[in-house]
Amino acid sequence: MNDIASFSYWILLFPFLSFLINGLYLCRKDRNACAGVSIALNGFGAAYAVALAWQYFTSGIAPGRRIAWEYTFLPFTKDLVASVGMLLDPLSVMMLVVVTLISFFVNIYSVGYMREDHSSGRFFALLSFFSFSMLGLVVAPNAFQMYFFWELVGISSYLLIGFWYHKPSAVAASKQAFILTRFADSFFLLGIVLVSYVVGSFDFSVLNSLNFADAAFQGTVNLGFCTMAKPEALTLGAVLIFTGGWGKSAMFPMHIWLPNAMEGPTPVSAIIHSATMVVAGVYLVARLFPFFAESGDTLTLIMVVGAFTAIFAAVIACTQKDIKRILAYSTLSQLGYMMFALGACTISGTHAINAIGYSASTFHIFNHAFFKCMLFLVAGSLIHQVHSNDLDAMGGLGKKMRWTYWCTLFACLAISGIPPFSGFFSKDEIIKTAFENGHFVVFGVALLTSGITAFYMFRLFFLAFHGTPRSEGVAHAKEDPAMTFPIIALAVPTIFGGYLARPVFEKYFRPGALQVPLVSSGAYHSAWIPVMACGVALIGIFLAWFFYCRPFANVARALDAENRPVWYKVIYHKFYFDEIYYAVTRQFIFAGVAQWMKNFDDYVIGGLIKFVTFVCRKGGELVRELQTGYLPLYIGTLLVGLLVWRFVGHLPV
Amino acid sequence: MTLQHCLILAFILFAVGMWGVLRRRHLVGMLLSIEIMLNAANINFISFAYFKAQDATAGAVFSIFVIAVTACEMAVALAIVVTMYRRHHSLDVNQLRDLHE
Amino acid sequence: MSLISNALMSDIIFYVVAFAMVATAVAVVLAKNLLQSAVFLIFSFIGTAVLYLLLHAEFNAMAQIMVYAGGVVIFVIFTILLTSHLGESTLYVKLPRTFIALVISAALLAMLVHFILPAQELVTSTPTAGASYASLSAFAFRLLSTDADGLVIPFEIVSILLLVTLVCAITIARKTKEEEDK
Repeated sequence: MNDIASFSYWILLFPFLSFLINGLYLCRKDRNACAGVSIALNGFGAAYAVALAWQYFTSGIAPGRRIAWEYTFLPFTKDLVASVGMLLDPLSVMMLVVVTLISFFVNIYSVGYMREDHSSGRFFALLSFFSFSMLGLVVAPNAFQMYFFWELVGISSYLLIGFWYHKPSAVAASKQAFILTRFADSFFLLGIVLVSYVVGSFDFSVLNSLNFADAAFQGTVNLGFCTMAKPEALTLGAVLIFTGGWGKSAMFPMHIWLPNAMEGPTPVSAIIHSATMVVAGVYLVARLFPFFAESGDTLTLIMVVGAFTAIFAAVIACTQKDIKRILAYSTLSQLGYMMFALGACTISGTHAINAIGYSASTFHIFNHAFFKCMLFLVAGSLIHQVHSNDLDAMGGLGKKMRWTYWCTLFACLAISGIPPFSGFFSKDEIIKTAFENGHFVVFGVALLTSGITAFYMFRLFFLAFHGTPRSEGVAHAKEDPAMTFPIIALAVPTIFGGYLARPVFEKYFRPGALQVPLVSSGAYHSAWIPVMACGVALIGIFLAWFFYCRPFANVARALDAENRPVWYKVIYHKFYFDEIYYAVTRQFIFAGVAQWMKNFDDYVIGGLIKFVTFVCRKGGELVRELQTGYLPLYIGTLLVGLLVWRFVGHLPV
Repeated sequence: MTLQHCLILAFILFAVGMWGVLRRRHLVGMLLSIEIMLNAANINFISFAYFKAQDATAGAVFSIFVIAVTACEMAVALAIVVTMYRRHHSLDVNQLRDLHE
Repeated sequence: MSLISNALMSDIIFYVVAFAMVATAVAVVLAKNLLQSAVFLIFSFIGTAVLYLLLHAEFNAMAQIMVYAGGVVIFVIFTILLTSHLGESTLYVKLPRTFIALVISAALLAMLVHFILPAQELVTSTPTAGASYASLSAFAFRLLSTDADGLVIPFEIVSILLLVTLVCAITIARKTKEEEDK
């Protein structure tokens, strides 16, 4: 254990090395070498992470927390030190495995997907950088490092979403993603500053062991614009920090960037949606869970936001025709699940915590990463064969791509929560959490969402793989080994991961030392929930079959988005959220605030600068005129100056 | 004859020298005025040495040093004057404005 | 001689000399011809030497006459003769310039005098120096002494300075090759 753990920073260094080698040297020379280096180094990283996880969970250290190495980065004051380090605990080890494995498979997949792209060297470099950023975020032992890598994740996602920068839509999407997450990140930073100001530490272990009832937190703290009690300030800080995760995980209403981010290459979507970037928000909440649990009703806020996003996104997904957008909304919905599972840990009406939701949520991160990544890879594969994102152009692909067909079926079953696939174990735990802890509204929402999820996933499945081909591209479709291999490889954890990993998660994934009361089980028990959830999912699958795959089903009618009632159109247009955003940004921010700012900048600031330069220039001309070269004038000026100084400067003369 | 009178004499001479420096256009004329000013300073030295100093000899010696340095200054200044005259054929300070250009 | 005491005598001489010095200095400034200026300057320096004698600084008086009146001014006269063609009119100075220079100088003088007037000490203080404080032997002993208050090092430095100045003046004033060719 010691050896492996103490060199575990290599897990980070492998992708970083790959980024350096590819980005600085290879990307212009040899695209295939780029791919090779990327796959090899990310493979090393993945192997190392798996070995580390194996050692960690089998050698009895498991729930323990360990700093593999640490280095003082920025000593702000004697007490407030920002260090970089490598934290190993069940959560981060699990994420290391997930991120490295996903990144490894996505790299392999990209060989096939980016085969025709001439700048794929840059792509591999950025992909490695992306996983490096996410790994740095995952192992962060303090909020400062987390924020640091958080921003790196943001910038690398910006670069990757806008990878095809010749497409205006890609540029717009990357800008949107960047600006929107930056907007949320600024709150995150504010939260970090506020909390570290009150607490005097960035360290997660300190933040997570805070007890607001302590004597140290009884006073008030002056925040400059107002004075508030310390526990309230910390709660405000917790909400601000959560806002960072809110934006990064694309929770409603900051969700619009995620579907638009589909403009990027599909491997990027796969890695964003499964392992990096969007789970960062959930990871943040899980990482700071005891702190959030202590901070008043923050967890309730998290729960409400998560649950609403879950059903909101699921409803939109039902009407979309772009295969990647369906998956994007599905991701939103699943992220909502994870979020509200964390939020629902608090037992309704009390501050007590039932930790079942914590392990369920982290377990869902784990499972979701694999099957969602696989689904995206499948989507990319289909797009690559059919040359269209649209379900209109698919249909009947199941006969052409048998391997992909079966893997997709497994993944759809997993996301729908059908046993024995992985999603069943985590999803039912999540639904059970909501019920056990007495959040019945959320429970209903979750159950409904579960059914909707099954419906839209099998809608996608049936429309893409069954029925009759609806375009020319289908006829030429075939399996691409470089793309199919990762899909098959990811099918393994999709099928077996849930069953095998469940004991680990139930045993080791506890939110750590909580200051609030911890109960082992919720207020309500019910054994029928898994059965009911499965039943709801099966109903969803049946409905999808009925609409889209039953014999003589009118698929053309099902895919028609024009002749529809108003409610369908509203959903189809994603509740017009993009339009609302554009209206707000254009009408309010651009025309209102930005125009005023521009005018202020042009006329006031610019005028001031012009005035200053004018004064300087005129002064210079004046001084130049004074330099006449007449010696007596110099001496006379000197004397007059002396005299004036004597009277004006009140010399003691 | 008190120290005050000596000092006032020195000041008057200094001011007259300054007047000359400001007034003259001829370079040598300015140098002559500067001589007057230096002389005034020397008078100050001697006066203080005579009336007030703990170590009168040192004050007197200092004025000798000033005389020596003045002689040096004059030598160099006149050398410059000669060179300038040779180069510009004029010693009008209004025209000697090399520094300005 | 018996009617007037020694002190009164020296006072009278002081005022006469002072007046003469100021008058000659003004003449130096105002003279149209530079040669006249230089000659007036000699008189001013001689007046200074007399003043030094009144202050019992014999050696300074001697040096004043030898170096200034005898050396520097003669040197200046040579320079004037060397640089100005005889008969060339002197540079004309306009009246406003003279006046402005006079005002500035007068203001300076007023300021300086205003500065020392309140000091009663300057009026009441009596000479502290010994009779032979500036005699030749006193100078020689001080200048060549290596004691703590001896001035041998400044003396040497001044001698080096004189040498350097000599070389420097020659270097500046000598004709360069091109000028010789002309």
